Amino acid sequence: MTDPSDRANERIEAALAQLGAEHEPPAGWEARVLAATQAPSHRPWWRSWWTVAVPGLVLAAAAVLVVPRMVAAPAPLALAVEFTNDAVHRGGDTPGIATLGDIAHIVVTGGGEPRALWIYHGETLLLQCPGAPECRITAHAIAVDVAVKRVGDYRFIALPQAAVPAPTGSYDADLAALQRARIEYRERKWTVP
Amino acid sequence: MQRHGSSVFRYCREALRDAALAEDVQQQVFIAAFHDLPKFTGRSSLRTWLFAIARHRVLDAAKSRHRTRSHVDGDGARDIPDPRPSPGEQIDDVRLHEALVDCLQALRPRVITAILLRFQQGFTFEDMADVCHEKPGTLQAQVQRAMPVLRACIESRTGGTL
Repeated sequence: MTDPSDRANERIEAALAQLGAEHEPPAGWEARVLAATQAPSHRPWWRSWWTVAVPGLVLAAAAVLVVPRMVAAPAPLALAVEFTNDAVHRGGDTPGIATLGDIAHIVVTGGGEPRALWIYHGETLLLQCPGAPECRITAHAIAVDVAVKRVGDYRFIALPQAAVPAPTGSYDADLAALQRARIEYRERKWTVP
Repeated sequence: MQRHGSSVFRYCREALRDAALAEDVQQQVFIAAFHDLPKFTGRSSLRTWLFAIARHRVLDAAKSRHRTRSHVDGDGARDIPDPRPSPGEQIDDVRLHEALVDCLQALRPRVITAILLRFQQGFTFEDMADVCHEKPGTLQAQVQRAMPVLRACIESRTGGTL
């Protein structure tokens, strides 16, 4: 047997479901909506002026306060290296072992602009950014993907905004030049056995 | 627009109980939806997204109407016909409908919205949570608390039993 309270609720719910079923929106409402969305807005001049000026002033104040700090202290230089091969994913901050056929994904961020990336296979410079067509360079990062085609050691060196000497093509010579110039850099080494 | 126009209008009309205001609000909802369409991420359904806009507009309209009425006529109470049956007689559907419409208006606008979304529009409490930006449990509690109030109000107005 049904509880009278449940029955009462069921009647109320049924009545609510039917509420307003006889009413339809006025004819032509779709056309009025479309017309309103296509019509240019006619705002009073003072409203337009304030809607531009107030955010403008806020942005200007923020720029005065924030930009000098950003210029003075760029984010620290960071170098991320990961290797992928189909479902296998290797990476992190520690050096590691990759295998032939892997794709190395290298991303350099921070350190100010322009930043640079040098990649060596063994002793020889394999690729440098900016310079190589594979490099994807934005205001915030350098990213490049490199196919691992040879065994041996791969070294990745990220360089900050600085008077960086041009690489000679030899890992030892280039590293020595960086150290002489007292340039802080980030380095990762991966081995392909 | 065609698919959701009627249901949005029904919601606006019953939530506001003012046909002209409901027409205006319904059009505002779809104009706003057109402008904000690039921001629609598809995390919820289009219907849920539209009703979230509708709910905002309805609550704003109810608030500004409340302010106007407070200035104009004080309490805004309406004289309604009171077709009382004999005591204990079951309330028929016509009287239930009339009393329900009036009793619904005695609830707070947010509760009216919850009741309409749940029973008129058939939303689940989870979908209502997306529409109202509240927890499903909170909305369920709101609805559960409102049902006995509605029942008592309907029975008191009609003098019958449900």
